Amino acid sequence: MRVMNYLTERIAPLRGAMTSFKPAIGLIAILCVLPIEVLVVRASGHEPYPALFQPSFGTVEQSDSTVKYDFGKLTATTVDGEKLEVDPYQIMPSSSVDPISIWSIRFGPDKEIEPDIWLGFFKNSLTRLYPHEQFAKVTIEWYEIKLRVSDQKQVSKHLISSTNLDFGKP
Amino acid sequence: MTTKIDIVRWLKASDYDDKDTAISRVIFGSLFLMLKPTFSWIGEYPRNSYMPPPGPFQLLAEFPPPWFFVMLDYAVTVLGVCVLIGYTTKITSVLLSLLLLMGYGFSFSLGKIDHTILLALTPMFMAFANWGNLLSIDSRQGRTSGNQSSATAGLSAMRLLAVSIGVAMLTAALMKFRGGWLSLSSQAAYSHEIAQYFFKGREGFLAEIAVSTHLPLLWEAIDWMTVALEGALLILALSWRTWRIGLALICIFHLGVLLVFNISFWYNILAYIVFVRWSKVSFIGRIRGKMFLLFVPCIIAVEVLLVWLANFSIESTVIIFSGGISAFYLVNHLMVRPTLLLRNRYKD
Repeated sequence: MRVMNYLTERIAPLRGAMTSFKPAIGLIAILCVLPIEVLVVRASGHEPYPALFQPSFGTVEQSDSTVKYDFGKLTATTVDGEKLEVDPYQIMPSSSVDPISIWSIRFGPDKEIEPDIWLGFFKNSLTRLYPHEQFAKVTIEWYEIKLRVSDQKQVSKHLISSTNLDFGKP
Repeated sequence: MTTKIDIVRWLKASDYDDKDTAISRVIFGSLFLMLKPTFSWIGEYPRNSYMPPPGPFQLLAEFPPPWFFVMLDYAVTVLGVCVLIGYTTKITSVLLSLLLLMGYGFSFSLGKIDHTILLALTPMFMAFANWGNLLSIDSRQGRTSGNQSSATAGLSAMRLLAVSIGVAMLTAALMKFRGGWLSLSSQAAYSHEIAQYFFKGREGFLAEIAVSTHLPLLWEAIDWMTVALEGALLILALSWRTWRIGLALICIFHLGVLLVFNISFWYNILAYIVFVRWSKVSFIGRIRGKMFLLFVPCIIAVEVLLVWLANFSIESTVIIFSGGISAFYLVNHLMVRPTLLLRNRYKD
């Protein structure tokens, strides 16, 4: 009992000190987040989550004073050979994350679109949009478009990638 | 040792009392439920399209089944209501933050990270700032933490939230700096505006005027001001007064982003509103006793009315009003008040 009392008396001030320093420990932890985040981004090339980041945007202007943008075009071909241009906004589920950003990240010009994952997704989305049509394939084409900054005129547009997803026989 | 003690004192120094944080909770809760993020749409994507960012979500191999996200939506709504009415506020606030972090983590596992972290963290920090001590079921049932130690811990939680916001904004400034926003040979904001307008079809509000205004000096100034403001916020967190001025400037910045780029980045506004000294707002400060019970429906009614009158989305309306009120605050605090003080001193 005497030992317990002695320990309690000894520990009480330490606990008090710890309580008062807790916020300082929190502050140090938050300030340490920044260099750790920078290290993770450098090591992995991707932004981690959860992490204290805000939108960086980055620059889009090229050295030749043009703005470059990759524009994705989605074409669905019916079993009769008719081609329908489909707005990607209609294919992507409405979401709180910008659907067009998901579209350009997942199906972008440098991405391999795995049929195992995405075939069913495109089939279902097209059936939802055009319930009376039967489709044979979808084609995703990406064009690199350049606009001149000074007058916003298009200076070039060329195809940079094209991917077909065949649905097989209906 | 002295420095450490000073830091602790600075962390605990506060301009806010329980009434301020309680009103913040009610306004946060009502706005959150109106703007409530949903996650059930994730279930429409293939489960094996999972592409998590570096972090704990990499421990999973694929998305959970669709019913999981439906349940998550329900849970977030229930917790949002609990926070609004102040029912077991500390626990429900922390749980709300954790569920938001989880929901957004899955959302971002489709490849695109939308920087909603400050919205998700705010209830967790404010749970420890005693925002359930007043205007709550907890306070009516005597479940509040009103002792001295919890009160001081509460004050530091708000300072830590302010520092977190400052650090997050600093990352944006650093990335922009590295991305060449301060280079005099290009105008990053204008280039983005062109991309948003022509390629993403964001043509609303002032976008057309902005695109047709090709004044390199103006856009270069916008580039520099953006980097300076985002970078300076952490320093402005040193004092509550400068912090509020910084947040007012950031709210005007968000309004500018909405009007020019048509991007309604409302998530952060809900983190900023907890730093308003609501009890000093004259008509709110005068509300007493049971009149507070009318406060929640009144707030919601005013919001709905504003959305209906303005005919904008709720998100845009929140940004427009926060930007407008911030401009009024800045004019009042930086111009009107100093002028009146000088005049009174001259009279004396």
